[in-house]
Amino acid sequence: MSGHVRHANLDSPASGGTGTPAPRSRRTWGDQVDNPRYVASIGKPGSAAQATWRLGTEPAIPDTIADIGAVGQVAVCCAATRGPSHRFYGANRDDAAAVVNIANRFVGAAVADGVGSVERSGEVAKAAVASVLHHLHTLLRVEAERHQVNPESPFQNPQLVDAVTRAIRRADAALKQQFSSSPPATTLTVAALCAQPGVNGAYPYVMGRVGDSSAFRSCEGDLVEIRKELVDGGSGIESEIHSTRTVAIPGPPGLEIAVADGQLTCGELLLLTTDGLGNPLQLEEVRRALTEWWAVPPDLTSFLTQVQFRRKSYDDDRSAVAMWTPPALTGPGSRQPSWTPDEARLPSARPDRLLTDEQPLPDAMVDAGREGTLEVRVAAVRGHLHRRQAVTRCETAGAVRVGDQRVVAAVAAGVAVDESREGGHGYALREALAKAQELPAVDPVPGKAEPLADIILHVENQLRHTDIRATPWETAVLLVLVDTKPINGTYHVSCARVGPVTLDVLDTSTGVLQPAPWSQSVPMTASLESLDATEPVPIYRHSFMIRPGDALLLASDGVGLRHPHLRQQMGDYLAGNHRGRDDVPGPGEWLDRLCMFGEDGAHGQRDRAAVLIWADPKVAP
Amino acid sequence: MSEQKQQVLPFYVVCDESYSMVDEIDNLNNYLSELHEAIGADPVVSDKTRFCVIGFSDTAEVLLPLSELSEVEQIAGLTAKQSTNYDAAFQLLRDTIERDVAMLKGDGHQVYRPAVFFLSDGQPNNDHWVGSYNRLTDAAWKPHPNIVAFGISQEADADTIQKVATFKAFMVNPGVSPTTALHEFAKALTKSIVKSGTALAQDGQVTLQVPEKVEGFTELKVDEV
Repeated sequence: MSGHVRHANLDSPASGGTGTPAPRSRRTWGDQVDNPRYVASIGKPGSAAQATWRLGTEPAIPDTIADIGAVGQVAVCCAATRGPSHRFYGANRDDAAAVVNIANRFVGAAVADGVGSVERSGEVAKAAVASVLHHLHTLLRVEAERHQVNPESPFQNPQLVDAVTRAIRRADAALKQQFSSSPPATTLTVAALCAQPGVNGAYPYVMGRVGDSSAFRSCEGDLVEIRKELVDGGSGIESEIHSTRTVAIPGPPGLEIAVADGQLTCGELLLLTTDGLGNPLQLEEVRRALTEWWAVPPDLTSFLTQVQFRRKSYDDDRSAVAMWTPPALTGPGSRQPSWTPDEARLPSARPDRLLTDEQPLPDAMVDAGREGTLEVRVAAVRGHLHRRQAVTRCETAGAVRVGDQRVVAAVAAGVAVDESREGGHGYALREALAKAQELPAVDPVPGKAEPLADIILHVENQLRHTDIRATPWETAVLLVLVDTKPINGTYHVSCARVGPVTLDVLDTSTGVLQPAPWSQSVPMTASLESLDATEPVPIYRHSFMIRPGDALLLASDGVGLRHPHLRQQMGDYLAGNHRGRDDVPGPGEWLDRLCMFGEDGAHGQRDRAAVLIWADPKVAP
Repeated sequence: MSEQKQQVLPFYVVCDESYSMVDEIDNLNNYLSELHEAIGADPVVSDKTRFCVIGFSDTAEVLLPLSELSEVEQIAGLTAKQSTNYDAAFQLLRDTIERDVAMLKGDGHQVYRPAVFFLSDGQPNNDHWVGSYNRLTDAAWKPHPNIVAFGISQEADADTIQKVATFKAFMVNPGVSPTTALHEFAKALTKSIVKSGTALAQDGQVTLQVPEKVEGFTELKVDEV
């Protein structure tokens, strides 16, 4: 009774039983499968990896974050990505990953996997990673300073072991406090790797973990799981591995931490992963591919493509932190890394910054999804200038869905970072999106964008009262709300902005990118008790309509769309002239394009952030 | 061979086609079609699960061999026949699972414990099924399945339903029409496939998830082995 084979329906998003499925299509969604820069497969890719994404609902946890840069002599790539399962269902990422530069002497790295698809498990994973790296930074900074004073002082591995285990215990305690009632749990793996070689030319490391997120190192042309571990129980006495092990934090009293130490020699890789990558890494075929890809540090886009390799049935979130020591010899014939330490450095994070609302932003972020008849693409990336200067990214973007009816998107940008002040752009973005999500779901009335302007005013006020100490009005914000389906053939768009950000509309019938009609808006003078501003700064708002086939482009100033030639270049790209097809770029391509946009000009060195919202022309209104 | 290696959770629906089901067979076929539509359209679930339909009356027959639902046109095919022979059902089920798991493993897949959804509306015509049932559920036989049993008519013997189940058992409530009961069964099965296919336990394993409650049914306690 079995029937004939038919093609899998790839464009039908589930939405927890609500919402209209997207129209069926034979195309795969997102990045083109035949472009190896954006899509890699190991074995059969399966249907889930090619299925439509949906946006998440949590402004603080976008689909993907990535970090790239050198610490001392060590090259680092870090990524946390949603897997096909969470992307298809529009659930938030449960994994987290981060790296910190500890005074150019140590790399601190952590990955965490929120346990079960419980609400807030992604939040606790993120908090665990931030907390453990904060404590690791505090504990190792002393060691780093001592080394600076006396570079010949012998380095003691037990100090590193002590710092790692204490950092995990402090993170455990911090989570218990932060998530007091029935906390969701997370695995946690953290590593400290020396960023400068010791007297023997080796780079010592220590890895500590609770739960089953894995760690690997390169060994004779393979990736070998770090298994030889001792268990550090609460008493501090090291013992052999027992079968009972603490699975997650927050954990019970007497937290057992598995600890391993070792050293890397030249040209070796230390890799932390969550299960989403650790599970398929049990397969020889996968290890072979990753060993080949990660023989040397790849560029950002390639690293993300490689972490997200497609393989049927492996649909969990994935996180990875990869750390490479420099090779001994770089003669002809040896593979060159895609970037050098001089081109990208991890900022040296201040430990107190790791715990406040304004954690330094990682090098890049990506988000994307189809909501109703809208295609959304989000990307933000550090520019070459800040990468060289080891400064954190100061422009950012985000988009979340609000039920099935709306998408809210934002771009925020702060001033260049210095020691005493960091821009409030990360906070501003998250707060603006979160407040917009809470707006009542009534049909927007054309001309009424006041709620969005009010939100911007609220955010700017808040910047004065938080730890951030940003001067208000130095953080530019653009906030846009769009219905996911047209009403009478058009889409309502409401928007508000302050500061230098751009909102453009692509008219696909002409292929021209036009600035949104702000000049028709009503500037609203801010009633802010400002100590620093000499005169009130206007918040602009507006409502207008777009048609199926039109696109909105939200962009930070770093993208450069105030310059006519760059606007034209972007319009050409979006209208398909240089992509060879007329549909929406995939998430990987959008990030890559943003990285390279205007690179050859003066503008090309800056951070940039952009959101593309495309109203599908192929769907009947 | 390891190129194929995937995680796979096989589901078997074992359906009573005895004469007393004659009024409901069309409905059941329709509900199975709905299930097919729902699972087949969900790429996350259909990547990780396989589905097989076995019908039984006085004999048993594989109506849909273990397949990926996204690659199947239709799964209807139940027809009302004669009496209720559990022995034939369990024998065929065991042989089918044995062959299917061997084939999946031969292809290099990581196979999770099969799940069986057993649906019956009447009492078995004799007790001769105990032997074949014990062979099916023998803990020493590696792929012994998790069995969820549903008694879908008032005439179904609750005791028997309980004995057949190893994981969960449900008995239809008085006053619930067979049509409704069947529909709720199909929905529960779909939910179970979806939840099992997407849930990840702490150790990353795929586990069988069955809804806590099934509308129109009462859960029975399942004997511990």
